[in-house]
Amino acid sequence: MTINDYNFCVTAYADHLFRFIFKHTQHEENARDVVQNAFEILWKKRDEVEMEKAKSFLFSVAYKNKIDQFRKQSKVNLVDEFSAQTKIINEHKSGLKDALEKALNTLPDIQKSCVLLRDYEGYDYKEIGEILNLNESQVKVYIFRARQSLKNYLVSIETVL
Amino acid sequence: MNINRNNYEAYFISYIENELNNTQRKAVEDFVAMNPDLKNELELFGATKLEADEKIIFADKESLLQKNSTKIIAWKWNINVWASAAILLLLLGVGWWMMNQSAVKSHQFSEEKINVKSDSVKSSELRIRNSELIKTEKHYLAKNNFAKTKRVENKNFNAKIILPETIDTAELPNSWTSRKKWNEEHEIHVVQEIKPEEILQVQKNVAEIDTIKAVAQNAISVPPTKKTEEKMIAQIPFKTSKNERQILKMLAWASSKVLGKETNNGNFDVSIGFAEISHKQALQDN
Repeated sequence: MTINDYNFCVTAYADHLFRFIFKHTQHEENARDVVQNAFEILWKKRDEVEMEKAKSFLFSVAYKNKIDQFRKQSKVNLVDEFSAQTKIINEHKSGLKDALEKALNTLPDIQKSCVLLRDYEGYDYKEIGEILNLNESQVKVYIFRARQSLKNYLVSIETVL
Repeated sequence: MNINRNNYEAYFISYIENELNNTQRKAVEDFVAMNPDLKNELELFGATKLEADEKIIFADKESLLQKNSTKIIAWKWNINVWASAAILLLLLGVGWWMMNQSAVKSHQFSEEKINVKSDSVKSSELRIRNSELIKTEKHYLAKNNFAKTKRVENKNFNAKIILPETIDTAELPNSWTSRKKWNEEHEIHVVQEIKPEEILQVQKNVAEIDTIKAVAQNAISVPPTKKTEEKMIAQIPFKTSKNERQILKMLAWASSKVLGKETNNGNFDVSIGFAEISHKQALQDN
C-alpha cells in the first residue's frame, strides 16, 4: 500500500469508520481515538495490508481493539459531550427513524455491529464474519435476531402511538 | 419453499436482506397477498434497515493523512549517515591515538623499567651451530635500542637477545603497523613479516629445524653475565647486512617456533617472539 493508497483510505473510509464506532460508543472523542488508532495501525502495517482489504482491516482493527473497552461505557449517555466544532449535527429525530435509533441502542453490541456493517457498509455475511471474527452462520443468526428486536421495538412504539 | 404463518419471519427478513432469488421473492409476495394482515409486519421489517447518517463525519481527516515525506526521510537519512560517519571517524581517530599512546607508553614503560632495574635485564644466548654460511656474532639489545652485529671468523653463530623481563606481550601493539612503529621507536630493526619460504631458505642454509629449536630453547634459559651485559650496552646501533637479516629471520623463526608463536598468515613476528622469550625467561627466573 502506497502513501497515496493510505490517504485514499483516510478520505474514503474515515467517515464510515467514525460512524460505525460512534454508533457504538455514543462518544465523539472516544470514537475519534478509535479511528485515529485504527489508521495508525493501518499506516504501520501498510506493507502487509492489501488495498482491497484496507477497509475491512480498519473496521476489524477498530472493532477488535477498541470496541471492547468502550463497551463498558456504552450505557453512559455522553451525547451531551458533543463539541461545538464537531460536524455531527444532532437533529431532532422523530417518528420511525428516531424510534429505530433508540431500538438500535437496545441491541447487544455484536448484533448492532452486524446490522451496522450490513446496512451502513453493505458487507455480506462472510465479510462481516471476517471483520467480527464470526462465521457466516453466526452473522446470519445475529442479524436475524437484530431484525426481530428492531421490528418488535417498532411494533411497540407503533402500538403506543 | 414452504412459507407459512409459523416461519414467515425468517422469509421476511431474508426478503428485506435481499437474500432470496426472484422465485423466492415472488413466493413471499404471494404469501403476503394471501395474508394481508402480515403486510404491515413485512413493512416494519423493511423499516429496520438502517440508513447511514451522512451528517456524522470525521471532522479532521487532515490529521490522519500522511504527507509525502520522501525528501524529509532522505534528509534525515543523510543526517544519520553523516552522523554515523562522523562518529566512526572519531572512533577511528581515538583508536589510532590510543594505539599510538599505547606504543609510546610501552616504550616509556620498558625504558623506565630497564633504567631502574638494570640488574634485571636478562639475556638469552642463542647458539646456532653447524652453520657454513653464517659466521656472525649478533648482539641484539632492546634495552637502550642499540644492537650490534659483529662478524666473526669462526663457524659458530652466537646471538644474544637481551630484553627487559618487564615487557609483556600485552603491552605490545596489536596491529602490524603499530608494532612496526613500536619497533622503530625501539630501534628494533627486525624482519617484521617473514614468509615461511624465506624462513625455510634460511633454515636450509643454517641448520635443521630441530637443531635450531633445541639450541634456541636451551639458549633462553641461559642468563646473561654481567660482563656480557656491559658489553652489549656499549654496542653500536644495529645495522643490517644480508647475513644479519638472515640471522634475524632465523632468530625470529627460532624464537617463534620455540614458543609456538606463529601468526595466522604463516608469518613470524620477531617482536612477539622476543617478548615471549623475555616473558618465558622471567617466569623461569621466578
